[in-house]
Amino acid sequence: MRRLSVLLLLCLALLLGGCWSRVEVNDLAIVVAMALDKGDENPVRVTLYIARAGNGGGGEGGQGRPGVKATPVWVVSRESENLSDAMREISQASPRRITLHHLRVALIDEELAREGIDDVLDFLVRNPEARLTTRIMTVKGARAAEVLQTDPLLEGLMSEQLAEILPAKGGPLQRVKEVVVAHISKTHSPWMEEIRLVTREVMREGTPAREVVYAGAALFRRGKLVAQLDQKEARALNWLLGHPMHAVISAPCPEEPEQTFSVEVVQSATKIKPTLRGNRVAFRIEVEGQTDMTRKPCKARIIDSEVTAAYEQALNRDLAERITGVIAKFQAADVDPAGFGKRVEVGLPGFWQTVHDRWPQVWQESEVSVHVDLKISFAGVLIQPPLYLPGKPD
Amino acid sequence: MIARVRISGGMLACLLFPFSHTAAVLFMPAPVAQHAGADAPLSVLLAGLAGIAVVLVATWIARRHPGQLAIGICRRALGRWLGSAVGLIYMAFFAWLYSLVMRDLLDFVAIVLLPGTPGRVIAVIFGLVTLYGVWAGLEPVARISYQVMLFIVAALVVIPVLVFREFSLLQYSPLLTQGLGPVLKGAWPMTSWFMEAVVLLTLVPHMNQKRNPYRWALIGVGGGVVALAYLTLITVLVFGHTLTGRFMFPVYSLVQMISLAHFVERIEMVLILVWISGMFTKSTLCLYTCAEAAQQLLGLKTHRWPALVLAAVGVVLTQIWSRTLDLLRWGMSDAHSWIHGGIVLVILVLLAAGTLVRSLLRGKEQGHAQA
Repeated sequence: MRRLSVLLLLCLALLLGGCWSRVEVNDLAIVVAMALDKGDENPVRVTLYIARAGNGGGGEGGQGRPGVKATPVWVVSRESENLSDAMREISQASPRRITLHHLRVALIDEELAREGIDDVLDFLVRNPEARLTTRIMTVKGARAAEVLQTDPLLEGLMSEQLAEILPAKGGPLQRVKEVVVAHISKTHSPWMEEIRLVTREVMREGTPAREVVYAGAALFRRGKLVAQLDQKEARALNWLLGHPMHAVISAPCPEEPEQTFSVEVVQSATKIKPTLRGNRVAFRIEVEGQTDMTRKPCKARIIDSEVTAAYEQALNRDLAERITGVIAKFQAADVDPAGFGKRVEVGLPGFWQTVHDRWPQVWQESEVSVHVDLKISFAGVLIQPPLYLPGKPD
Repeated sequence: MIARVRISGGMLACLLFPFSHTAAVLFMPAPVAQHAGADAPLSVLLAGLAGIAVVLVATWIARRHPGQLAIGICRRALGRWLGSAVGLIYMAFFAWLYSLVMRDLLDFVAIVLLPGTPGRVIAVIFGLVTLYGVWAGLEPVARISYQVMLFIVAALVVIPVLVFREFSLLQYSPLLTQGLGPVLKGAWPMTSWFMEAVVLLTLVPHMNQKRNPYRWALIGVGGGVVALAYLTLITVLVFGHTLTGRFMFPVYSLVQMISLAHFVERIEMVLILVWISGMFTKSTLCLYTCAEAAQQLLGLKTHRWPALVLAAVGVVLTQIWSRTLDLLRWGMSDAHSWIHGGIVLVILVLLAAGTLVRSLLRGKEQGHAQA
């Protein structure tokens, strides 16, 4: 028995050398961003943004020749019949094993998005290496690959920059999970953040001339891009999704409409209530919140309650118009990114059973009313305009 | 009567808790959600009633034959020949279950943890580990289960906290909108999994006689049912029922979502280790059950040598499924529910009937004797 135990232990010691399928980190090509474009000669072009392991800082030397500045990434692109074939072609050109374990961002160009993203989503969800937490966004007005060819600002890798600039816009961030859940839902439509490339004046030598900025949102129906929201409209979408925190709203001053004032949202709540009117559904959207005034060049004294009320009214009117406008856009494009259908399913389950198979038509004909009640709680550290003296000529 | 190890009530519960849910937890939420939609947790609870029924019947049978192990119970209830035949079915059922659990384990490990490592190698390694557990005996395995139980409970507490930000009530549909039909349809593939609690025919005879086996068995199996329903609920809250129904390993996809401030990420391996520990309990218990049954059927002095043979058979049987998809299809199929559920039902009905008849006859004999 003792001999058998010793023999067993010796056999187990053979396993200490490591696992069968181990791959050393310096044998890995770690993909951190991926761009998917419509190809010129083939249906799809895949561009991978691969971080060089152990060379993230991109300093002198690195793993290249001494004295030669090694770039921290390798950007490689292939066109093919489909995504898997393109990935295989890249693998065949890569001296290291391509891995998607650290994929942070997937970019899709506008043209490909209009043709359909089903193949892309299937690939990203099916692949055991990729994660559902990968950020996914569309690129407006440029090829997605161009974004990965652009130098990042401040961050070492473009994937980091892309992942970091979007939280600044406020509101929810779309990842593969949210897009797929909405895509297969009967009650939601998927949407994604949209980015674009802009050329700026070079302020200092070495600064990239092109930079990536947030552009708005892309709305999808049955896996195809059907409408786009600009930044202002996308912020209205955030209100509907209930995530407008730190959003900045600018509205015309009540007494000087040529001037605008701005507030920052510090607290908010949005309720979407479906009600039945005969055999039709209507939605009442109630937006409440507290704001902090960040800018007011107009002359009125915000400390006066009538003035505060007038400013709040202007603010509420402006936001209500914006939300109403974006809902009209949703209905025109037959999309439901804010989940109005889900509200009906939850709030009016009996009615939902009668309309769920023709929800798109029902949604397009639904009446939506918007009621905004934002309060201006603070006016910064001022109670009166700092630069205006009554009686002094302008 | 054979000299045996004794396990406490707590140990029994700790063995049954991972036994009743760890093998199913990884992929069974998918077929349940496919059928039942947002009512999937209700389906799991409903299926759990079958497990509870098995607990009550199997414990009752085992208690009616004090001093007997599983095969002894069969022989006493049904006579030597029919009892041995039923015992053989019982042994074969757990040998088969052992191979299925091992295959579940090695498929997951081969797909997620060690891609590229041949399944046979993983099967042999896990086979050796379970064999070691069986050789050590039931009590050490039960003691290890105590610790495994702590980790499983900790994981069950931690998972919802870590994925809380992913919850969306708007991904959840109102309950029972489609009536009870889909709930029953969703419960069906789970039922036979919980009926594996028939393992109590092996465990109760080893239990300390002073303890109440009903209470601890119900805690173990009921806890497993609740844990599975709870994880199904969390998965549906995170992914919605449609996506949950399309994953191969929904709960693994769930723990992959854990991300705290982009800092605490990729901790699924820790949770997977907890799952593997639970699977170790289940596979070891299956091997122990069939080894002990083989020992009694063959009249051997020890269960160790039959365990060696049965472990080898089990490892070989893991390879009969040429594709993972075949195994998944089988695990979710009606045939699985009918065959596994049917075998357990036949064993329990025969044993219960035999025990009842024997009790009645004995009662009559005692009545005559008193008269």
